[in-house]
Amino acid sequence: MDEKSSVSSISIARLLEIDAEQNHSMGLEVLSGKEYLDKKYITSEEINRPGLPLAGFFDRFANQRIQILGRGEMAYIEKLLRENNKKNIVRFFEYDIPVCIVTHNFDIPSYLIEQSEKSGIPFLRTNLSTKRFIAIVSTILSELFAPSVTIHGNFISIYNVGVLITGKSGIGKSESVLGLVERGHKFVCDDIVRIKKIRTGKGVELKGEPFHNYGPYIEIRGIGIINVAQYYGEGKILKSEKLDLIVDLHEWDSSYSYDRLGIEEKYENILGIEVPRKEIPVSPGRNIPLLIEVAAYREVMRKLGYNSAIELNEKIQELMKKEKEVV
Amino acid sequence: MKKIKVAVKNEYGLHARPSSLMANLASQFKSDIKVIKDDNEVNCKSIMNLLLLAAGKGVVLTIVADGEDEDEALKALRELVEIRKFDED
Repeated sequence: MDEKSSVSSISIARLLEIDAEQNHSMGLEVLSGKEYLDKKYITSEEINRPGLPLAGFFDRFANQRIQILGRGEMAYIEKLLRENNKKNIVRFFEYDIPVCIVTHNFDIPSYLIEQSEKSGIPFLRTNLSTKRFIAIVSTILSELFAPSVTIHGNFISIYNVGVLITGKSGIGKSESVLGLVERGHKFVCDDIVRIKKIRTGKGVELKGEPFHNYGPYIEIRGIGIINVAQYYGEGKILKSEKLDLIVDLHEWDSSYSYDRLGIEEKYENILGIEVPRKEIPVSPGRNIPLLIEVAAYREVMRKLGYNSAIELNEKIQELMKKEKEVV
Repeated sequence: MKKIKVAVKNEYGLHARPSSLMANLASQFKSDIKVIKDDNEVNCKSIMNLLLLAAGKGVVLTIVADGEDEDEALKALRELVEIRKFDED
């Protein structure tokens, strides 16, 4: 496992592509600097509203971030232009800025366009409000810049429980996934999974997604490569799912003590987050897709606070107590 | 076929964790191993069977082993139940 950020930089052109691919509706139009879109790169997931630089304070100006000009900034720029005080604007455009984005579909003073063209900074406009636009662009960027690892395994969503299936080559991971898809669950990816650490409103969570964008292909030994979407329908495919459980398939080893009760939980640390992990021994006659499905149900129950083993144990202890009192 | 009697000595009796220890230990032997409490005879290699005996502290169990390694099996089980007391207490 090799931890790194998913990407270290992203071009403005790619940002626009992602917006279109994933339907984020950022509502962007390019006003100037079209030819620089694939030459300018964003290197930080943070954004900046350049109020202070425009007012003349350039110390610690975060010029490497996306610069967003909202209602306040635009009003100030208009004031500067009315007073013919262009010093700060000129200086602003002298910095190496990846992109300037104006919100609220404001009319842009032609002077700004001229300056941005002169300095080779793409100038974009959105019809969204500043707050809405920042929310969308932050989500996209924090996903792109999220720390991630790639893991050899398969990823499937069982009733919204994201399950990572690991195990040695040839143990039957892909076959199990096919069995699970057939049971109505959703395929995310085969063989190699990218796990990302994403910040959400509720905290940090892990998300699994395909390592590549070629499509939902799966390799089954003896059959060959299969396009899951073609064979089982688009409805059986998911782009990504949060990671809730790791199922590790083992060749049955009679000297290894497998969990037989399910009272103690085992975890595996991925990107600093503890993920529940179940080891399932594989041997003839064991229906692995069924077992993985049950492990996922169990994870749902565990989160709701139910544990069958603890429940039964409590009943037995209650009974032993009673018998003792009788004696 | 050999038979021994062992007393459950740990405070909480044969609950889930001790049952799993006992079943795992018994599973390492080739012999057939049974546990008897009152009229109930169960398989010593099954956690659920042992658990359902509900054998509390002070209960005396009969363990019956039948097979090539029956002596070793009984010796190991006696140690687990009476001497190690399931590593509890």
